[in-house]
Amino acid sequence: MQTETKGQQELFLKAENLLKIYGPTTAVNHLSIELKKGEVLALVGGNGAGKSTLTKILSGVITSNEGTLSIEGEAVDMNKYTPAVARTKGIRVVHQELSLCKNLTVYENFYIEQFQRFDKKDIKWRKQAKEMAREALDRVFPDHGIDVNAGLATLSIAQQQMVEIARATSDSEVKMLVLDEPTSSLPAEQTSQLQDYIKKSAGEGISYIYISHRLKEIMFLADRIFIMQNGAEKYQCPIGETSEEDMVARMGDGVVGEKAADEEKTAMAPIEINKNIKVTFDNYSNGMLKKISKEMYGGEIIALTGLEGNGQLEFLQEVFFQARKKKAGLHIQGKVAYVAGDRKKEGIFPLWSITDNTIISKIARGALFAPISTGKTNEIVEQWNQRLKTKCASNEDLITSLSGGNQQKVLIARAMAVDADIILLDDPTRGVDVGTKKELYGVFQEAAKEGKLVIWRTSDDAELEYCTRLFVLNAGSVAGEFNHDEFEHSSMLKLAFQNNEKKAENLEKKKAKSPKLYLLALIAMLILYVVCGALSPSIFTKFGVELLAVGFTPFIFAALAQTFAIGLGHIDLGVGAFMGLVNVVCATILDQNNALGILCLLGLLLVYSCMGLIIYWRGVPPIIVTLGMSFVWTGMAYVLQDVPGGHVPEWMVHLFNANNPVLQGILLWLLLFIVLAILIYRSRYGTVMRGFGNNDTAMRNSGWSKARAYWATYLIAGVFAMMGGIAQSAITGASDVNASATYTMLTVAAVIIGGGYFSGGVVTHVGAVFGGISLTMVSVLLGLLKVSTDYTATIQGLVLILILSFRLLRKEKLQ
Amino acid sequence: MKKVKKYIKENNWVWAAVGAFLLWFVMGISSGRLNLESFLSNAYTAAFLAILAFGQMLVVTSGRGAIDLSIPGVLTLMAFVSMSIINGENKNVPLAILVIVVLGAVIGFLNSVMVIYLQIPAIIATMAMNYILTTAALLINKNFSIFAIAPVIQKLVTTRIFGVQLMIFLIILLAVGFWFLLNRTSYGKSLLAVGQNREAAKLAGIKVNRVEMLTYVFSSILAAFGGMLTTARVGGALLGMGDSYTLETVASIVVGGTLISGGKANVPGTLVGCLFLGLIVTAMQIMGFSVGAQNIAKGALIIIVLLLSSGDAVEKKVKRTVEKAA
Repeated sequence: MQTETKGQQELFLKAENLLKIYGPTTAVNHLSIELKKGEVLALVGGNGAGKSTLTKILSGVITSNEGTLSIEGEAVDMNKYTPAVARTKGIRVVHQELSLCKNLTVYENFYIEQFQRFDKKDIKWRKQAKEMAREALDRVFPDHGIDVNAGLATLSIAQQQMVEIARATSDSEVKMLVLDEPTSSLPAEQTSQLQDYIKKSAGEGISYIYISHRLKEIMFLADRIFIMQNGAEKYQCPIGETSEEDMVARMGDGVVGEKAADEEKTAMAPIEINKNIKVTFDNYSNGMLKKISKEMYGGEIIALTGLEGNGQLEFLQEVFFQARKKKAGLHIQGKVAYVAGDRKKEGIFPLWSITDNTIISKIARGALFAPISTGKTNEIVEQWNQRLKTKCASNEDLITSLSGGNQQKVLIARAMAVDADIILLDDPTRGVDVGTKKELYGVFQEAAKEGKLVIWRTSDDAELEYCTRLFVLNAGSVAGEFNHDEFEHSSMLKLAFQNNEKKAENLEKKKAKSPKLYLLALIAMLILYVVCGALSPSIFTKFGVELLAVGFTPFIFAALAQTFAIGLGHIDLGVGAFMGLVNVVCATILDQNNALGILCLLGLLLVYSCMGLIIYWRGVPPIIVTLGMSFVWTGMAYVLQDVPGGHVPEWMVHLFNANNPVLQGILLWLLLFIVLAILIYRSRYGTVMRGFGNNDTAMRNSGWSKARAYWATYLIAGVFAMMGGIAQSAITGASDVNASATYTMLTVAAVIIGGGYFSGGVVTHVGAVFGGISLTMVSVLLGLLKVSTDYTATIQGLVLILILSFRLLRKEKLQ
Repeated sequence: MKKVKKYIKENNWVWAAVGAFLLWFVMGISSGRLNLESFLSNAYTAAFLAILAFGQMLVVTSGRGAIDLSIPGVLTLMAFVSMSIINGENKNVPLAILVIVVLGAVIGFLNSVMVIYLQIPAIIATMAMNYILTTAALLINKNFSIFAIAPVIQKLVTTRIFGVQLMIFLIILLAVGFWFLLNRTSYGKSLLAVGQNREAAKLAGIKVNRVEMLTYVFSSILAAFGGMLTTARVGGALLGMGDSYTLETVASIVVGGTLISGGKANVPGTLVGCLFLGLIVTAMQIMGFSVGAQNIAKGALIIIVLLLSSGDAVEKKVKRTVEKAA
């Protein structure tokens, strides 16, 4: 332990002998760490040093295999240590990936994560949340210029990061904050504000673990540095005893050499350049990549290194996806194959055998309908398995039965089997054991010897030893290049870390894409209304309006129901059928026996809400559940009544058509429910439901139940759909199963026309109402133009497709 | 024995086959007509469903919850189109086939454009398409008075060889073709890969858009043929003749062990699923179930089968992978 830097201080947290093993990888290796109250500890280290894993253990996100943890002198039961427990102990983390819901406002994001601090009975929770948000932002970032009422999606990334940081600090219970690269997208001014805040609050006794690649910031801010390497402590000291150069040197020292020392250097014998295969970047920029000019040839192994997220991946993918296209500034000569590093996400086909997984790339390059020869396939697979020494009982075993290293060998075999000239490797040795790693290095070197070009993105600096040349990427451009012989690890790190200071980032608000989502639908509705009125002036009278409105009332109810489903990222294919069933129940069972009828309706509502639970529990896609149920609903309706007719009880007709001088009764009900729908979404739990539509991981991490949110959403959607069926009954006085059959597609159209998105929880009820009315006006207009009603559904369908195409042209991403 | 067990585990349609057999047996005993003929007549009905189910199977296998809801519309419209062109005469049949194949391909192409380039969820795109096609059929129907079926088509649908309907042989042949397509061609393997892991498929060099486009085209062409053949079975083109097929195609492939989340298709399973579904419908008719009750049963069947099978480790694995990718 180092000498105390701030006089006598109590320990806040003490962890000893932490060990975390993922398969063959030891992410955290018998590491002990201490943090004093009011101390700012900077955690530094290269890629894959284990910083993230360590913070995850300390904050309860993952459980370590071994080790003890005590907080404020009190031992913690590691097996019961969850993020929730960590929070009660005052530990909070600001992750690199933001955990905000983008469809909510700034203050709503404060509410969903800090809800425990709100008085359950207080109706003014919005006011409280706004104050909380404003205070927190003001405290950390004075003059932040963020409107707490603004939707998160309208803020820039920097502003979103400010919100995330402020939210974590707003908790008055917080005693220790873990900040993982908090300044990666903050402008200079806000960075220094954050630093001031950290210094000030540390003075008040809050402890910090601060992870950053920006060594200047660390020098300014930290009390102590803790350098990690390969999951273990490399070095720690008070900040006064180190410098930027010293840190870089210590991080680099010892990575390379140890492992490579026993390697025969003959592997790096003079390489033979194969000029037939080449990749040429000529002052090329695209997306993240900036002004790259490089030439690479067959026979070389090129490593792409640098701090993670500086364009290495983009470099690789650009070569792969542009290979077939002719693009100015990027010339590729040779067949290209890609080996994915994130095996689960972008590598393996989990339902397939080793054989199928190996051969798919070769097959995909053949003619679409030419027969595949299994004999030849097996031969190729067998050949590569032997060359790569893939360990498996049988080639017909599922790929998921293999260890990570052997899965990776299959992926490499996949790329090799197409006889590619250029092999792109995306960090292929991640999570692979040491023995297999060495074998893989041999394979890559052999490929290069055969005259192939290997481009290798690596996060393990020890692997740089196996490359003939390496490019250091920094902010999307190649900051430096080394040949194998002249390579020095510390100068590489210097290049990777250099200029990693503030880019002048614009804090200005992004232009809000659709300031009022429903505006388009409102305009469409008004124009259609005027056009219809011009054709038939009676539409402008009060009677005309009412007549029109009564006609679309049931449909609007259905659209409100669909809004809740789409708000969750689902599509309810049973809305129309459910309304039909309710309509029939009203005109049959309810008419004969009121009590039984009401019981039936309540039962239906219960079943409807259970669809949400089925979707949650069994992971069955929502469209299938609702589609299957739509036939159940229709079927039930037919069983009750096979021809349209029946009789709706008088009391129901009266209840919904109550005489009054203002407006037709049924319209009052509609207005009431529109207001209700809006209020539900504005309520506390409505906010939670919307949150689940956007970022369910964030919601669950904040402590909300997904099952409950799903159930509640379907229950509410069911109530609105049921009201639609009842309105239908009250208007017609009889029932017809098919009257609402077309509503299902139309409600989806209404929500989307009203500015909604299929996913992300971006929907508005007002928009759905305007969209729904617009669609109805389309059919009215067609009627006035004496177009046969046969065309109505078609034209409404076309309107939907047109609107979607239009929005796509405006570059909105709908899914 | 071990191999048999493994086969059954991977092909859970075997249970549907057992169920179908039992259903036929019990129905035969109770109605006193336990003979091969009753089985054949069910298989014959199932054959028509199978033509459409194969198309649905391909679309579902492409993943992302895709379902082709335009099958009924294509079937009905193409029934009308083929009747109009053929007009009861054999010589017009080749032209009719050409027209429905081209129209089917165009419809499938439009569906895929909506899904791929306009990024509309498949169910919404195909549902809108279904409305458009249904409307077109409605319009043709207004001045439609052709009831004559071309003899050659009539013959195709009614001929028996050794007492077994020709259609049944044809469907088995078609099934062999589809099995080959899925398991032994680049298109089929690519489709299965896309359905399992879209991201991995792209990086493996699969031309995802082209594969997806072909899939919708196949589905629509199959539905078009289904429409032409069905005219001979029901004696003409009728509005609403395809309506029940949305549910039945989905139900039969689900029963047959095709994964609703995509990436795994089962051709023999789909055949068995069609047979099983046909038998259930027949059983319900014998027991005097109304159309409504039959719908309830079919809808419930889909959900129950999914509830049972989604506990499957395989499906969970896919889901996890897909979720992570998303």
